[in-house]
Amino acid sequence: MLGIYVAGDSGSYLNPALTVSNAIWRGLPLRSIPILVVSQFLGCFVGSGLIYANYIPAIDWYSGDNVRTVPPTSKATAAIFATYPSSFAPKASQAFSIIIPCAIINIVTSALKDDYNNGVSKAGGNFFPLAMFFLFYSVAIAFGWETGYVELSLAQVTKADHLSSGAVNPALDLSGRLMSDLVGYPSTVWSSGGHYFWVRAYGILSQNLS
Amino acid sequence: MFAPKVSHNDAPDDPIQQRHRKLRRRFGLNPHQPIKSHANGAENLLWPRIRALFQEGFSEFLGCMIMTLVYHGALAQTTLGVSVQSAPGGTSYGSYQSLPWG
Repeated sequence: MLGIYVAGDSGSYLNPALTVSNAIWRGLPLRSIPILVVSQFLGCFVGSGLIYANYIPAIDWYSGDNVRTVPPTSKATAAIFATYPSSFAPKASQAFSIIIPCAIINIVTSALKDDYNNGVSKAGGNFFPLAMFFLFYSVAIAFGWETGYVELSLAQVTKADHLSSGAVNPALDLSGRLMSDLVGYPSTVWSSGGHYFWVRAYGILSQNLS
Repeated sequence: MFAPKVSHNDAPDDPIQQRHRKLRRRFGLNPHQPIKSHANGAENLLWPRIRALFQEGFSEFLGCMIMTLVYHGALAQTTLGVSVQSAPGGTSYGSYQSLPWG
């Protein structure tokens, strides 16, 4: 929610998948993709780094000095920086846990931004980010368990007249994963959960292109 | 460092405006987006001009940073502060439902 308020000048995409899908379906110039996506990745990367630097003592206290573990081991802390599926969730379940919230967010944001909707949706404008907060809150309490909560991160646009968005945010997840790999987590950050990382990538792409 | 005065009269033959628009067009950004002007003329300095050139990129950067800080901060506090008896309420510092504030 706060991110949407901050990034109002650019339309608050905050999500590479959303940026690409807007370029494909909604006329965002293709040539503007690189600068937007690069700045999104950089922003998320810097944010992850700051959070890690801030919480080094807490991680040491929680899981032991210099112990950096990746789920599904116990006391794993890598889930702070990226999402990991629950150990019982098979591939199909992981995929649906991404695609269903994607669809919900897609439908609700489209309704919120639809100026011809005669219901309460004229609450766009300054209250749109607040509505997005409630949307992500509700998706998080409904679909957060199986594939981790961060995946429900922001996917919204305030300026474009219509949207097709994904629930999942590649910038937030990929940059967090990269950051946790760089700062000393084992390289299983990329392969945990049966290479769940790729499930995410394909889920996001397929949802956004549909 | 100090550039010549930027005129805001949108004259088509203004070289600075033309360069600004050309660069923005090359990056796929809207070339006719009006520059935010300040009462003290600060928009003529170098950094405000760069900022105006890549307005969208900078704003995405800041928005993503704020979002990540709050999301990952809430996740860190929730993950690491679980079952801490000294926390207010005696159970933990935060819950997963505090994430969407970012």
